[in-house]
Amino acid sequence: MGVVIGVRPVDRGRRPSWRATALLLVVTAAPRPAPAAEPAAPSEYHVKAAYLVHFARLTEWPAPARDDTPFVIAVVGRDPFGEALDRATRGEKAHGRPILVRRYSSVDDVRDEPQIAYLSTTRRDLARALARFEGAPVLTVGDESGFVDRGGVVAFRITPERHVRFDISLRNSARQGLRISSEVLKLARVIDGPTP
Amino acid sequence: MGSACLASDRRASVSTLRDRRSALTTARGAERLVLAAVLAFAGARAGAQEPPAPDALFEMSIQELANVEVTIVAKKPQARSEVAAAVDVVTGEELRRSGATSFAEALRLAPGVHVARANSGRWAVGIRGFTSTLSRSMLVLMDGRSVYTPLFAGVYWETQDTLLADVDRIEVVRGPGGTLWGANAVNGVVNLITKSARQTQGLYLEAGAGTEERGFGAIRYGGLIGDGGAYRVYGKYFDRGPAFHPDGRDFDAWRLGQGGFRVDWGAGSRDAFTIQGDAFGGRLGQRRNVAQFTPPYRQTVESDGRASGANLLGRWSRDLGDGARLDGRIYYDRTDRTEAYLDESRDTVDVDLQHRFPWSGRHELVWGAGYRLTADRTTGVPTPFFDPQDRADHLVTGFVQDEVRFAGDRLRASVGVKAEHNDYTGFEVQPSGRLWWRFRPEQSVWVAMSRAVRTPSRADADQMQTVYLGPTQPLFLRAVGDKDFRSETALVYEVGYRIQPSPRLEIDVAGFYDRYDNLLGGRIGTPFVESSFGPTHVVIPVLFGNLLEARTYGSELTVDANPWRRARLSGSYAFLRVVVHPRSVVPGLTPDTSDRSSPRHQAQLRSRLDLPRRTSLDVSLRYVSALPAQGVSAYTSLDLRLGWRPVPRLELSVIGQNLLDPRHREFGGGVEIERGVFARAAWGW
Repeated sequence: MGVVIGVRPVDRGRRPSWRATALLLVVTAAPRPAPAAEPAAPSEYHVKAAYLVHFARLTEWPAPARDDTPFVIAVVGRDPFGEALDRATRGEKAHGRPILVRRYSSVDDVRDEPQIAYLSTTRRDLARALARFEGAPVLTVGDESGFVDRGGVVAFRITPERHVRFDISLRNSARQGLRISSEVLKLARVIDGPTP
Repeated sequence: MGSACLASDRRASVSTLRDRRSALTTARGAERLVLAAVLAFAGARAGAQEPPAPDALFEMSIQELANVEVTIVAKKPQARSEVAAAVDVVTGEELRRSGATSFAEALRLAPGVHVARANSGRWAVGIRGFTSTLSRSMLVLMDGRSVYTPLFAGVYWETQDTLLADVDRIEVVRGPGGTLWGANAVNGVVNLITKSARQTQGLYLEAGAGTEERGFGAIRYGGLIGDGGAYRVYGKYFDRGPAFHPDGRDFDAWRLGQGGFRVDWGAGSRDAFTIQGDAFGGRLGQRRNVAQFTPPYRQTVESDGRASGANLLGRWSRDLGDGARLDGRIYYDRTDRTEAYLDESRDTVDVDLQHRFPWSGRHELVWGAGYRLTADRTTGVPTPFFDPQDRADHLVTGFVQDEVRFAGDRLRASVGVKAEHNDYTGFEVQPSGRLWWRFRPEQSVWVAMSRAVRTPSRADADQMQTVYLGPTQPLFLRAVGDKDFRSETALVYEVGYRIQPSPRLEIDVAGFYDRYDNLLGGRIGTPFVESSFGPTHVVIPVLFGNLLEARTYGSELTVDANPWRRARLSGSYAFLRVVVHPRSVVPGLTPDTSDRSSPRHQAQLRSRLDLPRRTSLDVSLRYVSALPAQGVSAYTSLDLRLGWRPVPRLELSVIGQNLLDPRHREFGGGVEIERGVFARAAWGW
């Protein structure tokens, strides 16, 4: 890099390394570039965020105690959506209630019952997270293979054509007291029948 | 001398302030430039295609969505249970419910980590042996910024702080991490990761006071900016009382104020950015014995050491699609410490780039490169000083690691190597190989073999520290750094087993055998008469060198249980043996204490209970066996926390620490840690 810093006698007024620092930074930098190109295709999470809004509208929940509470989509664990989910839900309503996004780093932090819980936890915490919402009117959504086998309701998957689709367990959705519209089920791979 | 010292200190602090300001502006401007340049580089490579407006997706029907072609985002970090290493994660929730008030104390939540409080502000931390107040062979990072000091090799725990409520998690790796993290990650890696600004929205207030924690307060505010960005700013202050001193001299009060910010934007889209920074200033009561060459030869000074610092970090992450990702990071860090008779200021600049991509179906390759410049200026007196007083060191690193998956992800093998060049020893190579196998759906085993190094610090190579030997004659002992000091090396063999017999129970066992070579030791040299620095006196030199070797072995057991929804229980036990001996017959070898400064047995039991009426109870019981070299006998300590949440956003809690005895010793120095009780109110969760 060619940045040479002389070892000097103590002279607290002078800081040779500042110049080295600045020099180093300038050397690493290049002339101001043109704006970076946009991605060729949207990220899978943009599509998944849009799906969540549709799920919110096309699923029936037991009626809430009060109508003025917001409709909450909780992201539990590492948030893969970022602003995409905020943009997808901005000003949107479901069942006449404004949609609100809440983010929790762990399932332990979840205080109020959300309507949709997107579980992005580690494998180890997944069992705990699913247990947390078991039997409650919460649409659990995830994107791990095996999410549905472990008790989740909706699991995203990506087809070889790079389309985002999903698996749905009707048994699990019935257990949560939810009814999913046929419009959603038509697109889904339903992995079990309704509760016998 | 006293007045001259004061005057020069004042001048120094004035120029420091000015320099800091100019540094911050320089770093900010330059950072923007660098980010822009890196972006341009990556953008040019990605090629430009027709950009669809992502927001159009949100207008589409569900049927239309089903046919949108997407780019696939890089897979998320591996779960702890799928890693071929002894890893533990302390979550923000565990941290909040522990009542821990400092970074070092929070590490008690991780199994197998020995955390001893030496006095009010100083902590000795060790993983798998070699506990010391500087923790020389473990690497500590905060949001990817190394806080390991190259002056004394280790971490000044007392000044590493952040708003603990904003901590997302602390990842603790027991064992070597040199292949990914580089030198000095010999016995462990600790990485504190804060939440993104998006996760810390709104106002948060915290205040508390008690017997040992005399008073603390914090405020944070987070909001949204522009289109999809988020920020937060915070400030905090604490005043911690002195520990117990048998001689009644309460010198070690610890006060620190810190503020900082974090901005995140673009998360979830192709490019995500973070810029964050902190600044702190504090006073740390200290007692120093300083030798002098004129009678009475020794002075005990009790004074407040001053420490301040600031850092600025930028991170950029680009999703390259199809599971590939590029991560860049740059930071600048400045610290100033003024202690009795020894001052240090340090500037560090670090640039790091990492590229991760899958290939040929089964493989994932990660490679990266980095550069670090660290420059310090020290001033001492003839008894403690560094030669040379000022030093700048360059570090250039590169690594590559490939992971391959077989048998439908049930078997994973990874090999990797990190090569780096430092100014003390030249090239260092740190390879590792790891194998993980899930042989039953809920059981897995792993093995690993690694080589790791601890590169020389200034203290190993450049230190000149003289202490008075007495008792009445001018007779001194002088520690002399070894200019040819080579890196300490470790060859580490590890094995582990994990089982999750039910979703509510997880058991994790790890074992290790480490062989260390070229460890730091001291030997007595030929005494000589010296007449420089003052009146004629006799000096017995203690010459540093790569004189020792060691073997360590041990195991750690962790059990996590969630027997019912409102209860979590965890227990851990760690066994450790350290055997240190000379590499060869060395006359005049001074005794080494590292084998008896870490506990042979450590055990911990904690429970987290959610009780009715929005209350919670947390109990933590900790046993640590004796540390003969530190004059510490075995102790058991109990911490309790009772929390109440009268309304969802307010939490009141009472925390009692070290409840079983009025005071006990945890590390050398004769200081005892007292029982403490404090109350805390936090609003805004």
